[in-house]
Amino acid sequence: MRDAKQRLRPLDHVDPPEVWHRATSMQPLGDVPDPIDQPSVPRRVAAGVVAFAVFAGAVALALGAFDRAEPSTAIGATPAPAAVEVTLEAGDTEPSAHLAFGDRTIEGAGSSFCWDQGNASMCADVALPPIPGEVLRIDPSQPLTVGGDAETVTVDLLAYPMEAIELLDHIALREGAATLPSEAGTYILGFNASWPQGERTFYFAIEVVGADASPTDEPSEEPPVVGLEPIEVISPARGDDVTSPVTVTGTADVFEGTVQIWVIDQTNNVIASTFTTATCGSGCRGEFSVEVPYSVGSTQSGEILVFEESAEDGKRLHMVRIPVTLHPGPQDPVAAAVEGVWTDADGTPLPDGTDRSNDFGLTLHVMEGPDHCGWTSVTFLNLAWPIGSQTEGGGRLRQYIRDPQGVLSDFQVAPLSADGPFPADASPTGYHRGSWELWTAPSDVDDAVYLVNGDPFTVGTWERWPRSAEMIGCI
Amino acid sequence: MVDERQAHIEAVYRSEFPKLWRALYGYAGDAEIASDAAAEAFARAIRDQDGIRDLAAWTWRVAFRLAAAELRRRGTHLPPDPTAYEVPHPVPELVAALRTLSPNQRLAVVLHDYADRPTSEVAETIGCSKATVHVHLSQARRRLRTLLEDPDA
Repeated sequence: MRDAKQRLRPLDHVDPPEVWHRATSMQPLGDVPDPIDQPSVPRRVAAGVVAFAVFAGAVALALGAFDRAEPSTAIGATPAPAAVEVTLEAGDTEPSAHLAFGDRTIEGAGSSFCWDQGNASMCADVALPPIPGEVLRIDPSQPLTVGGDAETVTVDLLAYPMEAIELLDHIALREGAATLPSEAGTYILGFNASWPQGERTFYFAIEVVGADASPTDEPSEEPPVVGLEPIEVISPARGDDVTSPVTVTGTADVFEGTVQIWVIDQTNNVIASTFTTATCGSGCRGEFSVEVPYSVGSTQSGEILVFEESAEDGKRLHMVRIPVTLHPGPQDPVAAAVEGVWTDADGTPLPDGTDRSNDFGLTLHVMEGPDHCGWTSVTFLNLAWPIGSQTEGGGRLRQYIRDPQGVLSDFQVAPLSADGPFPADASPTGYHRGSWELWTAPSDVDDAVYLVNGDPFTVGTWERWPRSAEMIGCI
Repeated sequence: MVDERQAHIEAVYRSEFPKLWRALYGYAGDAEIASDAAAEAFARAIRDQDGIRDLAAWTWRVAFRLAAAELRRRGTHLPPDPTAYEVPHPVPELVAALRTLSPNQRLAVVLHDYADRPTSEVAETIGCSKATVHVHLSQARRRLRTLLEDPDA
């Protein structure tokens, strides 16, 4: 963590302007702004819907469960359920936590922390996310007790898996005790503990097993039908591995049959969104099926969200969340060939803006779009202009975009083209990577560059990459 | 009395503003957003001072929420020419690395690791739990470590 602070120290070298006079002379408008991620209605609704959907399944099976329940050993006396005991302790050198339940003990997955010990302090950065290794299976509404020597403890209920970082609820502790969720599902418990020496969060994974959800108990008959939800997703199924484009099918009985589909990546970003119309709507159930292209840089956990957007206020209704594993589709062969280090006509690597010893000067940088904005299908070509210059030597930066899937449709980017006549006045710049060369044509030199493989006037392949109207980046 | 209170706010401004502005700059990657958000936060502090208990914490929170709202308003468009800022090296490299983080990761790491604001305050600014802040921090640190120290990783 100390390293983390050091990395950010260069900000101290930036001179801020003076704004006090402005502050005293302006008439501010508006109240205190809301928190950035105000626990929004949609998110709350979503969590509630998940809980309800799972709960409904449990209720559907509950009658049979009672039939099969073991008889109580003491007639008329109900033994108190055992508590999940979590102990948080400062320890000699660093805080720790463990969970005890029955004969099992689980160490908590601890977050990064700093710890003061008199005159010395130490910090530990944990390679995260700290996904708890073991999932504890418990009954609904299992009691929880929290002990140890922490001064304060708060408990959060988070969505599982951890990467989703979704806060579902706070669990109120009363005199060190609380009740764990009643709805079946897998959750993360986050214990935020503080001591005079410092603070640390510990995570445990729990699975609340529905009244009849024990995997050893095969249901003896089909569960009773409890009625269809407004949106039922048929595929993909929970836990499926999916590859772009993912086909989402189901049935819906929603206003005008319109359903929205989002693909969420492991950091909870919406990386693809679309909508489709069911074959029937507004009072009847119709079918829907839509292909949703997305792009991720690597295999990761994610979710498909299917919901109705309220025509009145835009709220997300009837949300269905399908946890899946997102796999990247096969990489585009042109992107794979051109992304990376380019060289000049002599074979000397061109500065790509990442070399500290070169003052981060850039002549040409061809790179894949950032994963966290869902732009991995895009290739960005940053070029110092004029050809042969460098940004640190007076060259101006130009940006060209290859966006075959149109994920940057919100920006002013002309479409990629790879057919029609190749401009007769085009010539190579000398910049190349493998068999691919960068060409420009005086007739449209301010609007595009050409990526050329082979002889473009005969059998070679080529693409015209449009110049972006403004620098596009992902924040 | 009014002068006294304004003097108190000005004292907080003198002690907090440089760090606040730099943190906002690191978060937004834009000097204009940083200045606007800081000025607006202090203007609101002057207007609402009677109801504010911890002025410094309040101002940090409001300024960052304003900056976040402005970033959201601009969508994913970045300032037209990131090389236009007159900032010493390696600040551009750092700001470029920060831009690759998600907004909440960036906010968490700038507020906590750079400005030493407590995680409880970061959680309140974002509107999430402290547990979530720790996850944001860890992911942000891991990414910055990769980007700033091992470009080949």
